[in-house]
Amino acid sequence: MHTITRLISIADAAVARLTRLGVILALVVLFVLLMARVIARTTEIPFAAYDEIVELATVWMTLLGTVALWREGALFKVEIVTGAFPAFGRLAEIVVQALMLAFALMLVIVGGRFTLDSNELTSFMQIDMRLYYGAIPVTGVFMACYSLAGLVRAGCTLARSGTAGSAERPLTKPAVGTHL
Amino acid sequence: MSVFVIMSSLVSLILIGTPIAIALGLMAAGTMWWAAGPDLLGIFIQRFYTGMTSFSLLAIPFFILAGNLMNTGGMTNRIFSTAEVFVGRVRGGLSHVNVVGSILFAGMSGSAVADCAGLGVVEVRAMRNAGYRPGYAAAITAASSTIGPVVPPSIPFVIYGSLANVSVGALFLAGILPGILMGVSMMVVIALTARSKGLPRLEHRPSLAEGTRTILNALPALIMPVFVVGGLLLGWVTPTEAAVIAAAYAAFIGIVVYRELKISDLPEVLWASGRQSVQVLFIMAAAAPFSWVLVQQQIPNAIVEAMLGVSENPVVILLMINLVLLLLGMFIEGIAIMVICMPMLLPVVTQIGVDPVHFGVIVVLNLMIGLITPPVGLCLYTVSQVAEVDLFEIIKEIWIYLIALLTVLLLITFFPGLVMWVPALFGF
Repeated sequence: MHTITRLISIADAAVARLTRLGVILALVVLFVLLMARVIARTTEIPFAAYDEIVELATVWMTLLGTVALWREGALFKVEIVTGAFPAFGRLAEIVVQALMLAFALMLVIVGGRFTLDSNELTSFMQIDMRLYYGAIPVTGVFMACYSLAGLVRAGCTLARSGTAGSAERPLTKPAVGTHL
Repeated sequence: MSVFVIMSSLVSLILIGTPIAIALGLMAAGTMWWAAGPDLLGIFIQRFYTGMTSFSLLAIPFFILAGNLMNTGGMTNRIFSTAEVFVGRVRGGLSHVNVVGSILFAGMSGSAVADCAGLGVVEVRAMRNAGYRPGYAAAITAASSTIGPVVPPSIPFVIYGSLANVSVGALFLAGILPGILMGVSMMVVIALTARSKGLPRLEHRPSLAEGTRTILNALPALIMPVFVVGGLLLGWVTPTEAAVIAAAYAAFIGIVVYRELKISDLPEVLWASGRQSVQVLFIMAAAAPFSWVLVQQQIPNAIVEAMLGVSENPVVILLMINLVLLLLGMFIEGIAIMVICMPMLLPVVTQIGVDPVHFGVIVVLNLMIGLITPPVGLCLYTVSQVAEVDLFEIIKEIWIYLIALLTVLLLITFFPGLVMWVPALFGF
């Protein structure tokens, strides 16, 4: 049991590091390519081909970042009701985790089928579109794992009916680092 | 499936604490399955992918990055000092400085939260040291931060432009006058209440030489809007490219000119910016199949018929929309409101002949007011956290600024010219 727990925490740390690195790398790639695009326009060098890399970086940045937020439980949500009624919140947490698991599994199954069925290549650089669409099922697997863990955790919390969890949250906790 | 079933299910999912993107995605997938079985779910993935890769939305990470670089790179302090030179001497001067600082910051960043979390810390600290009540200082900081996303550049305008298929450049221009009006209305309130609240004056009056030095020191930061808005107006860059240039410029100024941003700070700034951006981009990805489902179910048509059944007067309809958005803004975060409501409200306003650019500014101002209304006011919480001021102290002081902002909202609703004049000058 101890070994399994240890392996899980090593895998979790690896996912945290990988997603962080992936997001930073994708953002840097986007920054460089979009700056180059502006410069290329002034020098009239054709640059359309690199838009395909921009799209690739955007997809992976968004989905790897989503895995990171999913892992931290930091996806934007409204906690006004669950915060005001902690007992209901503990029950709702199970439903929410189950819904998130269903969503993640849909990304894995439907997204996986969509990716495998795709036989397109990008027009300029001839990149296999499976590298693009594949981000959906691949990241979906991680999301599903974290939701499964969340579901188990929420179930245990409810079973214990302890004081931990949403009872300790402030009345309405906004998500970290929102953008407006 | 009826409007009622879809919307009530969505709201229920959101209220039990389902992340907004997941709620949108599940509603879209569920409706697709209900309408045509599991085969239609392929379209979900297609739309989800398209929603994620919209080029115009790529402006969001870079405007967020620019804001974070400005806060880390020393621009924020200099903006505050410059505002102090201009309006610091009158009674309640630091309150005016707070508002002017936010207008200047707004010209560089498109985020109210970036204003609260960066400039807000400097402002509240300075006001506290000068003898202002912490609740008052935090309230004016939260209220003035709402100017950020109305004055260009603006992240909500980028999102609205993408949802409504409207020129982001036109929206940026349309926000200039209402943004200035927001600032003026708050400064009028400050001037009217300064004596009764016993607000202090600044003891130190900077000399002409000191003032000039301060402004010159801040000049590299102050000319940033020239690159962003100027480049857009001249047609040299798209909004996304303008955002990238803004981020590059902020990094350059922070590292080379002010030397307050270290290379070693960059990974953390990039990670924070990427993380904040993904929160929006994931919602936008899930909103794309949801919008498709709404159109397939002819829900916008039903909303148009229902609203036109109440009145066909554009002003009445706009007032009704304002009321709905203000109420939603009290409980739900702004971008979620935008992605849920715009596919339904845009056909209504188009039908009554309201310009989508005018409507965009109305929507964004409504959402900004939502940022400072309890119980779910993101700027209230941000200021409360970063300035360590009790939330209820802020709420007690903020109501008068809410009235000022509501007045501006009514003005721009009744007088479209206040919004459309600047875009018209530039041929939009």
